[in-house]
Amino acid sequence: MALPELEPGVPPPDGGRLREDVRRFLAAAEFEPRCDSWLTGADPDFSRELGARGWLGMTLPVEYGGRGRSALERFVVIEELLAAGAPVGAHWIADRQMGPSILAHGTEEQKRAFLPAIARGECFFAIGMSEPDSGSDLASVRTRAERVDGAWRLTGTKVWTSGAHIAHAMVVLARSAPGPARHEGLSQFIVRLPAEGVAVRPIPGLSGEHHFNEVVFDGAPAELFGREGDGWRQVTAELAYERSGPERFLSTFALVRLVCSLTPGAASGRLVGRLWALRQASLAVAGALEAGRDPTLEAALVKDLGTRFEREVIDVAREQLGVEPDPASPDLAARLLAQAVVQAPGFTLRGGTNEILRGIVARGLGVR
Amino acid sequence: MPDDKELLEETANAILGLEDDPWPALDEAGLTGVGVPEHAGGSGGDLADVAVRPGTNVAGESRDDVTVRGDLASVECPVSAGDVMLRGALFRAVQLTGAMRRVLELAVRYAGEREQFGRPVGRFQAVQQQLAELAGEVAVADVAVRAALRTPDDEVAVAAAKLNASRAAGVVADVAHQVHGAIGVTSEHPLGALTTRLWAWRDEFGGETHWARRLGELGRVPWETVTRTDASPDTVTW
Repeated sequence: MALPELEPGVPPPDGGRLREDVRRFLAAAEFEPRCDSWLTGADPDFSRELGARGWLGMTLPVEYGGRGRSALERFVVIEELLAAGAPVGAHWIADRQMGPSILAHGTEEQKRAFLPAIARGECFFAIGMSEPDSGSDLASVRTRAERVDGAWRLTGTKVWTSGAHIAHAMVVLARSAPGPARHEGLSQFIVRLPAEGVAVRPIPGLSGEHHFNEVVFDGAPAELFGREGDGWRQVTAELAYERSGPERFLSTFALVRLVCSLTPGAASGRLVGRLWALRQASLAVAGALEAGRDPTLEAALVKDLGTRFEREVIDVAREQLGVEPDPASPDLAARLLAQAVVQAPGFTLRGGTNEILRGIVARGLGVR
Repeated sequence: MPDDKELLEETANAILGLEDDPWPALDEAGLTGVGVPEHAGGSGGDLADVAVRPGTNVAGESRDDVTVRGDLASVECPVSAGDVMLRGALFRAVQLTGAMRRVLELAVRYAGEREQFGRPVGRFQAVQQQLAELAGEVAVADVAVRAALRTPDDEVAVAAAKLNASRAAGVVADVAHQVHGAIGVTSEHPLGALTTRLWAWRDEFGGETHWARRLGELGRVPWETVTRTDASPDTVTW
């Protein structure tokens, strides 16, 4: 049995100055704070501005356009952006996982092609994992990759692909070898967008907003990303990064800010206390990753508890603020509440449902 | 004469009832002089002004009520009530997370051993999901407490640690008992010695609401509070 073990993270040296720089920039920047801004708040100009300031691709080596900084320094920057509700959605996936993933698995040509552009905020990525018949059971994906005249071609359909309509490239998990071993015949591919044989169609969200897409590949040209047959391992290795970041407990932070300043008391204090602990846990996972450990189980825990906190915030805000959710209200609280309420079901679905996450924890504990 | 840190720990252990014989530590701390006249080397006062009502917490640990009247009530005390609460809260938070880790071990082991319907109860997803929840609450409380131990004078850190440990204690005890079934609610089984302490300790030196109120006061600008940074005039404060 492996009991979860988290050593508190250590703040990066000089993190205070970095934080002050980001705060000064945010105070002067013009944007409307949003809930769930990392998924639904896309602003390519804002992303380029962050790139120009050196706050994208921070952990990438300098030779690939990055800044060679630590994961904890990046943590400082992204948590400040998220807490301010800044529009970071356009570059989020590219910065969070595609940069590190291309650095780890990409060819030299792919590194040169994508990493500097990611760090400049000029290359946005989408992730093609889920399909109409494959959600939690990701290994059942049916999108096919076939070699035609020495080049890979993709055929199949991906859904819930956030940001595919503004992305410059997409990473796709596809079956490159038929056969009974479901986890073995999968590979990752990169598709540069737009491309022949790729159709991107919007799937409107609950309030009609557009971030989801259906992406249909009909013999689309693709390049192998990583090793053939290694897709499953590459995808699962990324999960600890994807599941433990501050975006897993800060999606409704804008409401926390309002509750704490307008109705300070036991209810707001409960949120502050929980937030303090979840942030320590998230920092601890970041520290473990930086130190080369494998905190898969701990990352699943952080996401399970963090996303449930994001929802808890909504109920406390409803109770304390006494406003009706209204996307067009002149009242900021009513607008934020409206954004939070319609996005909330997604908090505990995206990146692995909470039931799947708890299954991972149970396996780690040795009862599964 | 032990150094200050050692003395503080021994005194705390004595006051908190962790030692069979608290008198040597209390004596060392000068606390046994109460009621002894000052010219005789004591700290004065009249023991008739001290009323002790013996009592225990739900775990059977000694928790007497002591009422002090008269001159003794105005004896100068080197630590404030707030300091005692803060130290006590951190101390209990450490105890809570230690006990909770043990409860998690017991629950996981029992779920793997106890068979019903022809398989260990831990094979049922309904039970797995509960155990995962238990593990999550323990892990988050544990990391919060460890972080607070680095800054034991920071009221925000200690308040958050105790709040999370106290909150987790309820969830952990509930799940562990549900997993254990009836055997867990007998005094012969080791689980009860831990869960009764969880129920007692979560409310000692302030439960969730006590520390939540304090964090509500301290955290009106929550991001700066949580990151332990000052709010400068040009940061986001909408």
